[in-house]
Amino acid sequence: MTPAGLSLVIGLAAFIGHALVVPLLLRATSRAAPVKIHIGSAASLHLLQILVTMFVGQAGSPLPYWHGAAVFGAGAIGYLFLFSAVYKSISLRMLAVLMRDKGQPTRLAALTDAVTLPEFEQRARILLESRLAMASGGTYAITDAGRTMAARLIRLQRAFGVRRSGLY
Amino acid sequence: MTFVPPLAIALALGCAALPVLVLWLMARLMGPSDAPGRRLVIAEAIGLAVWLLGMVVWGGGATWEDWLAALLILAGGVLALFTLWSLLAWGFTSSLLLTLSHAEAPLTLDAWIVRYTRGGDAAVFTRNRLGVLLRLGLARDTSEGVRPMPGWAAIVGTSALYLRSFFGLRT
Repeated sequence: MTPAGLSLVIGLAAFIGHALVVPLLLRATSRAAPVKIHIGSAASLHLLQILVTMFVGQAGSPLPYWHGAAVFGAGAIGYLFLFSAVYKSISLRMLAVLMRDKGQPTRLAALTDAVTLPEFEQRARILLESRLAMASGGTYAITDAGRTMAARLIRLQRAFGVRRSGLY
Repeated sequence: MTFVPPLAIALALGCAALPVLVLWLMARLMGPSDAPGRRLVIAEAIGLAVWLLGMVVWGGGATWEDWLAALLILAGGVLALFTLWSLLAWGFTSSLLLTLSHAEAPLTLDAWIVRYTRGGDAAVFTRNRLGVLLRLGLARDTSEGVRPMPGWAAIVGTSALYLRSFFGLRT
């Protein structure tokens, strides 16, 4: 096998390790943000990949870094993308409700009650827990930290020409 | 270990980052857009076209390993930018935060939803997100309600359920 081919194989092995470690960590640590778990696992496994690549390279001709890194990087990003889709996608949640009704038509109002309203409440809760918003007497207001975060988002949207956000 | 990338990979690294610059330039030259998805597609297409052109001109000596690694870098770049762009343009939680930041006074959840949907209600948001399933042919809208399409809907829905279970998420 060529050095580049060997680097690709080591990258693939590191990605498979990452793909197996993430679900275990997600189950073991319910308090940590899932994205942090993905990033932490990816960083650790990539470091291990570099060490193995160096070790294997010492036995023969040096192996290239980028081939293995490309496999690992694309795999890790794709894996995070897949996780995000099943974790947070509202459309997929709606599909699950439609399928639960076993082919019977589902009214828009039923979808709104089953998915949309609980999602609004859940996202409001996330903003409260991250102290970007505060609740008082049944109303919600933005905090100073929330205002700072919103200002950053608005700056980014302006820089990249995004006029409105939220709805497709 | 050698860290100097072969030309195909170096070109892919540059072209994976190029769409960010293209999006910024489009914003500067053409102003803000109500169709951020279209801009992303154009920017990504430019990035891929430049890479292909570079490979046609300079990529004669590239090995299959170089091509594979370069294509993986480009694919990873597309997915990464799509994810970040989605958060910026359509992110649910971030948009809720922006809506709250524009309010002059504290809002009830209902009032928050009305502002978020620009004068609509929660059903507007349901219709918006349901639109993805309708456009992808996973569901169809009938006079009696919404039905999942036979075939693909079951495959996608069941796969999502299995994946949630694999990741240890509530199903």
